[in-house]
Amino acid sequence: MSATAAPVLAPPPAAGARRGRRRSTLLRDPVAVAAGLFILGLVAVAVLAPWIAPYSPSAGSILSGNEGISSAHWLGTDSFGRDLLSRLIFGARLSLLGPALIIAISTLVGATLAIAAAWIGGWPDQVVSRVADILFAFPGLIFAMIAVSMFGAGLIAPVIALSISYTPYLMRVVRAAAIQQRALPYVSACYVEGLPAWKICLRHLLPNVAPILLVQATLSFGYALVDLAAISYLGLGVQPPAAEWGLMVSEGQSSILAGHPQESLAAGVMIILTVVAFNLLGDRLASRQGMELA
Amino acid sequence: MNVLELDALAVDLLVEGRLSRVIHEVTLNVAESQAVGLVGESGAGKSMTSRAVMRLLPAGAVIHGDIRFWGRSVLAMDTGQLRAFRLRDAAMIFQDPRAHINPVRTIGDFLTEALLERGESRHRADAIVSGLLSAVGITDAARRMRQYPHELSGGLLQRVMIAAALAIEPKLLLADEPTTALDVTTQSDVMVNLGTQRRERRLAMLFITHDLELAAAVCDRIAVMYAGYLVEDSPAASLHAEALHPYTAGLLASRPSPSARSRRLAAIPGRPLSAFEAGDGCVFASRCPFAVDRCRAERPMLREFASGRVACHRVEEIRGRLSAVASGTAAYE
Amino acid sequence: MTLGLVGNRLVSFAVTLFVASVVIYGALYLAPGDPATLLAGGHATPSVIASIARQEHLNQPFVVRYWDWLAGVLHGNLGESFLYKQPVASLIGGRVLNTVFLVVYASILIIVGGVALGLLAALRRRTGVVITVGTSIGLATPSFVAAIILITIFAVNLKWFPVFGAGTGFAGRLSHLTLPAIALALSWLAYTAQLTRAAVHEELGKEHVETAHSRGIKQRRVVSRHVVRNAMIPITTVSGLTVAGLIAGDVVVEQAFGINGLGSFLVQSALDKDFASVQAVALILVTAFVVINVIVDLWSLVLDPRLRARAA
Repeated sequence: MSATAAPVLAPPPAAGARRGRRRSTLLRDPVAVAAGLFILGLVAVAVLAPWIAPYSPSAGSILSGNEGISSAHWLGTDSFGRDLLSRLIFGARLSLLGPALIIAISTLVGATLAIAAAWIGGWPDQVVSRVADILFAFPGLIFAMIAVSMFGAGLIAPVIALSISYTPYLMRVVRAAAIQQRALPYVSACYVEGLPAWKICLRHLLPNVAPILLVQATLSFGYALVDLAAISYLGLGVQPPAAEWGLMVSEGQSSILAGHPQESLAAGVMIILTVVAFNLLGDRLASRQGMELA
Repeated sequence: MNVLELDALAVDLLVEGRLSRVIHEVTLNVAESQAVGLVGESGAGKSMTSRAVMRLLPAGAVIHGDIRFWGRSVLAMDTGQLRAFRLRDAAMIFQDPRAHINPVRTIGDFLTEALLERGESRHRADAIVSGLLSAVGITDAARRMRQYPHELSGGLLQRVMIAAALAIEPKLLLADEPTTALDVTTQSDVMVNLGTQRRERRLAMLFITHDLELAAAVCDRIAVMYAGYLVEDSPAASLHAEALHPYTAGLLASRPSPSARSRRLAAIPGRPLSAFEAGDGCVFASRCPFAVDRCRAERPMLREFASGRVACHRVEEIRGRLSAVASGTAAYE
Repeated sequence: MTLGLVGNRLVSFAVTLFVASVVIYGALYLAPGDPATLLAGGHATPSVIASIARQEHLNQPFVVRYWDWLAGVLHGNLGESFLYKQPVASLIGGRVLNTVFLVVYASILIIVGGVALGLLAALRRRTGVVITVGTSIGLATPSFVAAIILITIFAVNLKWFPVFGAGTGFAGRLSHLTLPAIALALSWLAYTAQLTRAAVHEELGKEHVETAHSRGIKQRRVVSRHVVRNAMIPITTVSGLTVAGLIAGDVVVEQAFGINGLGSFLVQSALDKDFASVQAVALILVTAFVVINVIVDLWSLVLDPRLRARAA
C-alpha cells in the first residue's frame, strides 16, 4: 500500500494525562513488545552493520553468483556473488533511513502547520486545510516520479516528494487533536495569565497532541518504507551498487526465472516483516489510546 | 391456559467472562386479553425478562426454568419453530425507535418486512400496513411509507414500531418501555393509542416500565421487580390503593406529587441493588425500614396474599403502616 | 436539493483538478534548468533547444503557456515527446487499454474478495482469526513483493500463468493479467477485508438488527438486508482512498510484470526525463483518481439517505 492508504486517526475524547500508567500497560502487551523488540533489533543491526555483517556488501565475484544456502553464506549469494545476508544487513541502513527521514520531515512540518493552523484559526486555517485536501489527491508515488523526472534519480528527490506527500496525513490528525485541546479551559487559563501563544503551543498543546502524533507516525512509517522501496524497485531511488531492500528485489528478479529466487524473496520478506512490526506496534498504541482508525 | 407463563424463570448472563444470575426464579402469568405491567428500577431485570421471552438474550446467556406460550415451551423450540413464533405469535416493541429501525431503509420497507417474510404479496402487505398506519393515528400513509426514519419524529416512529408489531397479528405483545424515549405529551398520545389497539384486538401484553403510574393506568395487573426478584404481583387497582411490599410502597411514596404537603421529596434510602449483588436473605433487606433479623437471614418466597402475591415475611404485620407510607402521610423510615 | 449537492461536489473536484493540473504543468518551471532544456530531454544541442523554445512559445508568460497546454489537452493534444519525436497521445494509445484492464480486474478482486473475506471473518469466529492474521500480512506486503512471490510460485514452479506481458485480446489479457491483478489487489484486498469485518461486526451489534431478529426474519436475510447494506457505507467512504493507491501500485506492477501500460511508460519517461510525457500521464492518472472519487462520493449519497438530508 502506498502513502495514500495511510489510515487517518480520529482523536479520542479529551484525554487526561494518564501517560505514566499507560506506558506500563503497553509493556504487558506481548504483541506490542514483540514488535517493538523487532524494530529495536533492526535498528541495532543497521547501526552496527559494519561490525556484524560477515562480508562487505559489495564484495563478490560473478563466479560464485547465485549460490544457495551454505556455511560460508548463510543466505546464499546474489547474482553478482555478493553475500546476501551482508547485503540485507547493510540494506537495513538505507531502507530504514529513508522512511525515517520522510516521517521526521513530514511530522515536523505537519505538526507545526497543524498546531499553528489550529491556534490561529480563520482563513490561514482554511487555506492550509484546502492545500492539504489537494495534496491528498496526489498519490505519493506519482509525486515522487515527477520529482525524479525533475531532479534525477536517487534518494533525495523521492524522500522530499514523499515527505510533502505524507505531511497532510500527519497534519490532519494533529490539527483535529490540537483544535480539541485548544478548546479546553486550561488553554484559555494560560492565555489569560499572559503566556505567549507560542509558549502555550509548545508547552501545553504539543505534549497533549504527542501521543496521537506518535501513533500516526508509527503507522505511516510502514507505508513510507513500502513507498520508498517501490521507488527503488523501479530504479528511480537508491542506485546500484548500494544495498537497499527494494533495489535488491528488482536486482534479484531476473534470477527467479533461472530458479534462484533467494535474493528477491529474502529482501521481500524483510520488507514484509518490518512493515508488519510497525503496523502491529501502531495498532496496539492506537487501541491503548482509545482511538479509532478511520 | 395462559397466553404466557413464566415458570421459575432464571437467567444467567456472561459478565466479564463469568456467569452472573440477573433474574431469579420469576413466576408470572399473562392471561388472554390481559395487560401485565412489569415495573422496577434500571437493572431490576425487567428488560431481560421480556428479551428472554423472545429468546433475544446476548450470546452466552443461560436460561433456567421455562417459558410457555399457550402451553408450548418457547425454550424448547428449534430454530424454525422459534422463527415462526416470532413471525406469527409474539411481537416486541422496543424502547428507542430511532435506534431500532434501520436508518437506510424506508418506513414502508420496515413495516412490510415481516409480512413479506411470511409470504404475503407486496400488494396485500402494503394494504394491511396502510390500514395499520391509520389505526395508530398516522395520516397520509402512502407518503409516510416512502419516507426514511430520520424524516420522522420520535413519536411518529414509535407509532410506526407499534404498527409494525400489530401487522403480524400477534397473540402476545411485549412492550419494553415504549414511551421512555419520548416527551410526556407524546408519551400519553402513544400510550392511549396502544391501549386502544390492544383492547380492540384482545391482545395479551407484557408492559415493561419504570413508571408505576403509567403501569397502573394501562395494565390490569402489575408485577414489581427488584434486583432480579419478583417481589409483588397484584391487580393494578389494589396495588395503587394498597401496596403489599415495602419496596412498592417506597416507589409509590417517592412519586413527586403537586398536592403533597411535605416539602422534601421522599426517597428510598440506599441505592438500588443490581441483580447479581443480592445476598442470602431478602434482597430488599438492606434498604427496608421494616427489616428484622429473619429478613436478612432467610429469603422470603412469593406467596398468595389478599388479591395478589408478595415476597415478604412481615406482610401481615406491616400492612397498616405501609398504606400510610404509600399515601405519603407517614415518612419512609 | 440533491442536484445542488451534486453540483457542489463537482465544483469542488473541478477545483482540485484545476490546481493539480497547474502543479503538474508548473513543475516544469520549478525544476532546475530552463524549460526548453528539460523538454528537450537533456541530451539536446543548443540549436534543438532554441527551436523547441520557439516552437513552444516559451518566451510567453506562464499563464498563457499553461492555458495553451490545458486547451491542447482538452482537445486531445497531450503535448509532444521530444525524445521519441511523436505526439504523446499516440505513444500512450495502446497502453491505456492494458492499464484499464489491469486496474478494473484488480478492483473487482478487491471488492468481491475483500468484502467476502471480511463478511466471513465477522460471521464465523474461528475462520475470522485466520483471516485476521492473513490480512495483517497481506497489508504489509508491497505489490512488487507480492509480484515476485507470485512469479516464483505460479509462473516458474507451477507454470499455470504466463510471466510477462499483457497478452492480446480479452482471453489473452485475462490470462496474462491475472497474476499482476492479484499482486496489485493483495494489500487493498487485505485492507478491505479488515474494514469489512469491523463494519459488519459493529453493525451486527446494532439495535435495528435485534429488531429484525425479533420479527423472525431469516438470518441470511437479516445479514443481507440490514447488516451488509449498512456496513457498506463506511466501506464505500474509504474506497476513494484505495483508488489512489491502486493507481500508484499499478505503476509498480506493470514494471514487475513487464506490462506495456501507462504506468511503465511513466517510469520510463521519468528515467529518460521525457518531461512532456511525464506531464501528460501524470495528468491522466490524477484525473482518473479525482473522477473515481467523485463517483464514490455520489454513490455514498445513494447508499445513505441520511447524508442527503444532512448535506442539503
